[in-house]
Amino acid sequence: MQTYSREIAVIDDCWNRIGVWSRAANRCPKLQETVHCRNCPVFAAAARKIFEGRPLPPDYLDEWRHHFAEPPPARRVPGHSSVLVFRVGGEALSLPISIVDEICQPEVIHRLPHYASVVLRGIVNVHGQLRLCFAMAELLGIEDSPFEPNGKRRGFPRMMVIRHRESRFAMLVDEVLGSLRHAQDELLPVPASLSRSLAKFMLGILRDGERSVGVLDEKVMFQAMEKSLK
Amino acid sequence: MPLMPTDTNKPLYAVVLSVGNDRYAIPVADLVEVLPLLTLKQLPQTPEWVAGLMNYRGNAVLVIDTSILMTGKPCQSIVSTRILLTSVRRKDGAGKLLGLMAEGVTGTVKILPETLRTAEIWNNGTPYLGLLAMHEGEIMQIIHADKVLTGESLKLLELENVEG
Repeated sequence: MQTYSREIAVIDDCWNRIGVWSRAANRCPKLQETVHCRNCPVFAAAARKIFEGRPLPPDYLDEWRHHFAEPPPARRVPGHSSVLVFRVGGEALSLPISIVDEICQPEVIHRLPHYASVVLRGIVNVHGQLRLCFAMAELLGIEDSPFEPNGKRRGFPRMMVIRHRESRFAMLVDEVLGSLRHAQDELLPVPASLSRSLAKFMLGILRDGERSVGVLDEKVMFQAMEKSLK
Repeated sequence: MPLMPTDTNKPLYAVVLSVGNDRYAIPVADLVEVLPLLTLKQLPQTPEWVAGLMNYRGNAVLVIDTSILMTGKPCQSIVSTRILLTSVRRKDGAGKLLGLMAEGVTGTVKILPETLRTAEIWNNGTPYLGLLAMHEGEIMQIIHADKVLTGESLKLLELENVEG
């Protein structure tokens, strides 16, 4: 333990001295290239020295021994599919992961004059490509406001780039929750209590622990998107 | 004389490790998995560089301490000391898993073929050492997993094979 703290003490915290966290007038020349210390290999190497040099936590050795003594986790099973789970208002919904190209931070949306509707928000720039941007909540008719009573936006709004034939669209959701694998027979029927406008978009419901996740029918969704363009 | 069995036109991806103050690299193609340090079953009356046996998903796998093997000092018990699981070929042609316990296993590097150099000296006692790579101003020596198994360790593996 003593040698460990001694080793940390010898790390030169250049990021505090001449880096972005310093008040020095003459900053590190490497910043010209890396812009921020967190992109710098010196910073990464120091972090590695601190974290990788830690003594082993108690029970570490035995925990791993038990872990690797177990048979390997099951590999991909045919007949399973993966969906990307996201949140719109209070609903946890999902789309096949195969049609999702990427997830990014919401970009500035440029309104289309005389064209923008509540569903079609406008166009966005994704890596230099212009994409039509739709709002998932309005498309599906989910009215639950993404804003909390204090006016703060709930969750972590994201933009998903989804693919339909040769086209790509941006879709605004309130939060991306992760992916879920399921077998075909785990898909449960849509409950009758669900509003009819939302139910027509749904293929079924998946149980994920306490949460139920709606699986969207992407064909119906694309049709609704096309309709909103007319 | 050891020769790299890799395509010399393609970059070589390798996992880095430390022995003493030096950096070594082991080609990713030689590796099955990188494992954390874990409790090993001790093997009495074996050379000290035999760290022990591990149960890897139901298989008994011999783990060698590369630090003792090469410098005589055991690997430190810290997070960056890991076990590199390699697949080696025995004399009789059968594939076998072998664990190499090594310090400073902190990442991978891409070694460009033009930075590979031949060491001028070949030591018959260390057939596991391969080419040298000049990586970011450092000399990095490439290790062949299959060459670590010489003489005694080969015998040990075969013994273990008879039992299991």
